Amino acid sequence: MIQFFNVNKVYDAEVRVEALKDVNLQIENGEFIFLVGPSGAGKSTLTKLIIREEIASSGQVLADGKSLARMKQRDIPFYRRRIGFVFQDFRLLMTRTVYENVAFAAEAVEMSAAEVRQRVPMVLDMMGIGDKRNAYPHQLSGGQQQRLGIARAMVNNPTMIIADEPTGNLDPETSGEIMRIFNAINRRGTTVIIATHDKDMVNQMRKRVIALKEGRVIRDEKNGGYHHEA
Amino acid sequence: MRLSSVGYVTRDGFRNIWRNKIMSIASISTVAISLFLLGCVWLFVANVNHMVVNVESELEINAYVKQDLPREASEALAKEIGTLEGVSSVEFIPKEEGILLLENRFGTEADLAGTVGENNPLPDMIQMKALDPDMVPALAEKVSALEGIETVRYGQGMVEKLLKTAAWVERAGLIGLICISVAAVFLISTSIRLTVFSRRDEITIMRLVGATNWYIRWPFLIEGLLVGFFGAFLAVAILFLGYNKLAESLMTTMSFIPVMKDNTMLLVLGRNILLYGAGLGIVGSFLSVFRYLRV
Repeated sequence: MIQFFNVNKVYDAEVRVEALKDVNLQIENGEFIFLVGPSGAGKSTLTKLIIREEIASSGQVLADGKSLARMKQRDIPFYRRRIGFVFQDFRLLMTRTVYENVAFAAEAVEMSAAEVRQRVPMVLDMMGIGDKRNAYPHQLSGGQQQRLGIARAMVNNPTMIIADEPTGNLDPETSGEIMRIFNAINRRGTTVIIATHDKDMVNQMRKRVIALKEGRVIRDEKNGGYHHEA
Repeated sequence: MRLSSVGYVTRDGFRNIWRNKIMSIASISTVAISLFLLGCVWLFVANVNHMVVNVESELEINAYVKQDLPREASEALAKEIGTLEGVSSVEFIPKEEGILLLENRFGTEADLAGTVGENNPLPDMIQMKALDPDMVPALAEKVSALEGIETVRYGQGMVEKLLKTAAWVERAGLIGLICISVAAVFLISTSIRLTVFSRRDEITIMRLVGATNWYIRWPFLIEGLLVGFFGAFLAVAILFLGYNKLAESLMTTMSFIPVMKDNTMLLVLGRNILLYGAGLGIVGSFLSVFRYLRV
């Protein structure tokens, strides 16, 4: 479970940016959540706080009741193993095969070679790209590349998947496929958080929607849609 | 760290070198050149020391006794010299024997002893050997100050010159080594910085999936270690081959130079160079990893 209590995040670079203002949230295990809002509304900042890329300027972010700000540096990698991250631009390693891209993430968390050999083909099959294991990313379609991105996020068996605009670079039909995959992942009990602009998708799925605007949560409803104000 | 992880990070270390070929080759060559120079200096100094120890006459001091000193007094003087610090052996050579030695040096045809007869012009001589070539000049001075000694002769500064040259080469070599080591470390760290840059996507992914900081750092440290080691290996190979060839040709063309032909010495030198090279590599990669790798 993730909880936000009066969270503010200020980036103090050349220009002072208030990315999040007084955010209060609770995300239960196994939920499916859309984070919606225009660019710069604070969606990315919110996900960065959850994966402990950033620390709240004030307020508290708790994961299973423990403060992320006070987490020891050496415990952060182990916390992140519980979260799978999916990028808008896929971030695949172009010089490595499909199999190697996924194995890379498994090896990084020091999975044994035997486990890697077992887990990697399994998640590739789950994403429907098992037959592409020896292909390179540039030989895949956009949808297949994103499936590979999801396979990489899933290989370490995370309890939560966070995706930042996962369908931003895909056509509507392919986006639908990707959403069905997220839905399937969620049905197995994994928490799914998706930051998106994709109005149709959000309206179609009828999941919990958290709308952000200028750093504030302006709407948080179960079975919501993509309203006009967001 | 798990055994399989050791395999992963080592493989990645090798992969880093391969991906960054040009910089790796530049770093390996710099390490090789610097360590080759180090080896040359070391071999030169070792050979000079070996030469000084081996040229036995360089340890020898001849003291000539005053002509008017009675024989017993001369012999007593020889005994006294034998008790001085730094003397390994002492021999009293009376003038009758001295003339025979001189005769031998001129060849068998001359009958010097017969010719000079009772009027042998040579003085009695006390011949001693020093324990250490460094002690020769001081010892000679001490002996010449003794009552009854006319003159003292020894290697006439040859020993000092050789030792001075060796010390100078050693010092110049050390300074050169420091400069070139700094350059090698700098080049290795630049090379690794480039690898860090070219692998930034992988590093981001590793961080997000929860790789530990050390898991991310290890391949870069291994890369540095390997670059240093390969450079050192190259230097050792060239030194071994080159030295053996040089030693062989010196032995045939200039056999009066006592060249060292000692395999254990070469092995010790090789081992030290390999360790030093690996050390340079690790220092270079540490500098980059802790400066440029944000984990």
